[in-house]
Amino acid sequence: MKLTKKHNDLNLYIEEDLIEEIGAIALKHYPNEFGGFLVGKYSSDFKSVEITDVILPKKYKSTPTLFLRSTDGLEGVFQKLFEEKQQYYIGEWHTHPNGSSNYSTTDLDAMIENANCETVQIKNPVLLILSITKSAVRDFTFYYYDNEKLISYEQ
Amino acid sequence: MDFELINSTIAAIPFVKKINSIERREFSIVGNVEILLEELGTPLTFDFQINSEYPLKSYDSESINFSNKELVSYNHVMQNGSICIHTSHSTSITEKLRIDFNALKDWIIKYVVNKDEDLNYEHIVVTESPINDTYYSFMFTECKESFYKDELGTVKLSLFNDGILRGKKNFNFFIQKFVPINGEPKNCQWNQYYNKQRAHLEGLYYYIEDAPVTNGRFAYTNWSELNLPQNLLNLLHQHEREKREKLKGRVIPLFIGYKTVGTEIHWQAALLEIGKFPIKGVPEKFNGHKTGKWNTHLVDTEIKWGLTRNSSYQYFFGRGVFSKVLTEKKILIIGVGAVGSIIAQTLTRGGCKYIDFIDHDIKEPENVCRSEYKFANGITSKTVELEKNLYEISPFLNSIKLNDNYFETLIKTFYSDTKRQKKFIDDLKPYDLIFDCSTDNDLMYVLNSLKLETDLINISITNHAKELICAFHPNIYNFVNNQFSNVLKNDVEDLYEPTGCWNPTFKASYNDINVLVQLALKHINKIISGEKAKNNFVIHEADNSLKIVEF
Amino acid sequence: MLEKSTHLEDVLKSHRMTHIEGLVSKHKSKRDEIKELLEGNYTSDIYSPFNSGSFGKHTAINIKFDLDLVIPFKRNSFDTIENMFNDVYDFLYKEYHESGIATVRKQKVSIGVLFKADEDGDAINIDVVPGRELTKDTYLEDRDLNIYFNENTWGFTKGTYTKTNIQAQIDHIKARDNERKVIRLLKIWKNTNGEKYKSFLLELLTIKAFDKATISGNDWEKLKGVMTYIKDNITKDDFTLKDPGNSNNDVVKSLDTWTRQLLSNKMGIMIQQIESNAENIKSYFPINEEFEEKEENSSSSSYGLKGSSVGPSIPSNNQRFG
Repeated sequence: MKLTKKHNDLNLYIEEDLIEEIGAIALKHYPNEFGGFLVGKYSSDFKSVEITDVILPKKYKSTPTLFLRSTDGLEGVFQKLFEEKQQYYIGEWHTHPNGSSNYSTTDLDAMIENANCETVQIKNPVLLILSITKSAVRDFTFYYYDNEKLISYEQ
Repeated sequence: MDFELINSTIAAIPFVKKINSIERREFSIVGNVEILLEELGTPLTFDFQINSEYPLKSYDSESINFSNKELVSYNHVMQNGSICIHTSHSTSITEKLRIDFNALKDWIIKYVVNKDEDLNYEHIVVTESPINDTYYSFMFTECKESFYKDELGTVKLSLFNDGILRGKKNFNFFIQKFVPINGEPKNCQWNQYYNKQRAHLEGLYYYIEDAPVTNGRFAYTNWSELNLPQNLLNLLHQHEREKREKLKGRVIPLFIGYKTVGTEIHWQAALLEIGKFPIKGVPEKFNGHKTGKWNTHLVDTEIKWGLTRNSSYQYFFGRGVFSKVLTEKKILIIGVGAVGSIIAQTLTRGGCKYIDFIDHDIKEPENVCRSEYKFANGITSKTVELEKNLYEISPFLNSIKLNDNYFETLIKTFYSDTKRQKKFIDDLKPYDLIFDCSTDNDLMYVLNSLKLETDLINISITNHAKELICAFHPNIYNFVNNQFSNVLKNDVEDLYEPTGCWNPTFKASYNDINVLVQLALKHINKIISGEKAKNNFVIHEADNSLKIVEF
Repeated sequence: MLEKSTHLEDVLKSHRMTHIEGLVSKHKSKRDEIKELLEGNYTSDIYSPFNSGSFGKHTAINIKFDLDLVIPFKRNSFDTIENMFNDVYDFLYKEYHESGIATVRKQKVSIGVLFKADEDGDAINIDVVPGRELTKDTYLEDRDLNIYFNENTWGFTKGTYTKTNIQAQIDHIKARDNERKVIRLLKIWKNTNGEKYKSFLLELLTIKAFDKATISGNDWEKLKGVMTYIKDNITKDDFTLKDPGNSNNDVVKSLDTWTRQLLSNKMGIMIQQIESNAENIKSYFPINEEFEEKEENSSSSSYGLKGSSVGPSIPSNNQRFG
């Protein structure tokens, strides 16, 4: 089933199966953090975005409280995705093992830097944080980035 | 009346062994029959009289009468020996005769053969008679205190409206209190309104404990039967002597008290006329010589019994009340216009004991046609008149005078002040149930926003009394507004505009409003007694019947 | 005609916690203050305190929410659960009550700290729930806690305790977006109508409905699906609602037959009234007018692009997340 997240009049759609898939990947890395990129499509009026897939980093560093991802080796992937499927990079995801799905200041800083990056075409990237334990995804929250702020979609 | 038909029908009744006599009179047929039942060793004879109304009843009594003076000690026999039977209706003489004779047979088996005792207490049979062509009636309630055998004292009585009884004047009194010769007064359990009335008359009482009767239920007819003790005779003498000068000819009651069922006490009033007490002074003699002292002796004359009624709560409301959960509640009614005053009066008649009300409005003559106000009271404050009207209905209603401007000024001025809100909640806390019948949206909003600890019910009516809307706290403001503005088609054009610059009001008659309010109260009574769920509801007319729609 | 689903969306919007951020942050700072005090006092006797209540579960609505703080004590901290409960009470009483900062009182399973109203008239209320792990060093693994009953409640007697797993209760509802929406709506109904049903019951009913019945469609259809499920099932003799915190605790048992029948009837009446006239939905699920969103102030217009047309983005390299 498709989940809908709202922020004011903006929508974010994602299939529950995809969330489950992300969770399964995340649990494999427990107790370390893990993450990647969100890709999807915007509606013609740019009121809605649908997350259709994730891309995993080829190079990354992770500990229980830190996740550093690289885009090395992925440049072509993003280009190809756009050309062949008209899908874009729309944001980031990562886990907080044994922590909440609230964003940290590190997360906000990363999003600011990312949004300001020249190669990023979008103003409002999405951030997904999953709170996980050893055995399960406890919670997840989507954030909408706008003007150096992260605002959670409605719960 | 068909004499032959009656004669042959009676003769054909199997247990009528013999018709000893039967004759036609001007307005009746009289006779004597012998009844033999298997259960009876020897036959019983009864005189009978069939009146010209037969087979119809007249004055609530059968127009056939059976009597046998020798059976007077059995249950349901009057002093003259007539048997008290009530039977089914029939317009056929033959059928009715069979019914009535069978009723006689049933009475014989139940009371003569089986000597049954009735479960219900039956009051003693008293011949109530006027004195000097005037009746005297006395209402009383149980007192909290008990009475002991041979207790004597005075009784404070208040007079209320005169009545007419059997064509004669009837003075109506209620007993305020019994004051023992030594001891604290014992008050009747009326409300404050009756308790505060001035005492107009003083009577006497004597608690005899056992019913003053012969044959188990016929009140004594003569003073000597009462066996009044010497100290009571002395008291009577003293009382008469004190009052003779000023109050000669005045009638005072001597209340004779006795146990009925359980701890209940009933009082009969033997009427005494000052100056004509049934006593006389007899010189005391010692060894045949007068000692110079006088003793009071009884003069045996006929007792004139007045009317007495135990009007305690359980009898006053014996025929039907709201559930006890509701009648015991402390109730506040806000707004006593058409809807509020009907609610107040219905609750009062339904046995509610504590109802306060608040309204700043004045009653005008044009309010009378659809609310519980009377033209006779003229222009007056609504709450003042309503209190009076309700007290006239129930001597058990207690109502406290409130500040009629409480909601208009206090609550509305300070409703958003959090500290005051706490006080308002406390002010309303003594109530278990509040009816808001003010149809005041502002007040509805204010009350709804308070975190009340008491039940609040809002009742309003749409124009032309098409619907009644009843909502429970806390979903009042939102619900009622949504009903009025979005769900129901309330007509706000065709309103009644009183002359002058008044608020327009909805159009509806007393009948329109009352039928809705009564149904609503019936439902609310069920909700309060736990029989129905506490859901908001709307009553509306559909297919010529009223329907309660729950939300 | 009123679009039921749109209305429910507006209802949810107007009940969002973000409208009362100031009040929420006051709560949070008081909660953090209590948490630090308790951590300072009990040091190594406790595990890390965590948030529960509707706020912890993301089912809060701005007309009624609670911030609960669960304090997991280690097995050897107190010899009895009762002593633990009383000690936390005594500590908070001394810290807050005696100094006149707040009223501290024992509640059903928690200790309530009600702060005096501040200059805005806000009286912050934080409930502290102490619990003790079942056996030594097992809490981090199983999250089970014994909690104390200070009153006869939910079928338990005062002075006894029960095993529960508040974390499991929180997890039970996490990542369940559609369910949370319905739960919030049912809580709005509960508050609007002054219904006595516990929020926990409504939560479990909603989750079970989603699990057992086919609940889909727009917001109204989902809500209606859940209400229909409750109406049809709550009165069944074999209906159970397992407490995710303790599988031996059947939450539906706390309701007698009459109360279950009433709940079923209420659901039936609501569905019927709303279906017969959409306007009736406002009687049960009103917009919180204090925070009703007007059309004109929808500021976030769209997902923005830096340029005029869409091109592929390459995210910044070597980005560090925490």
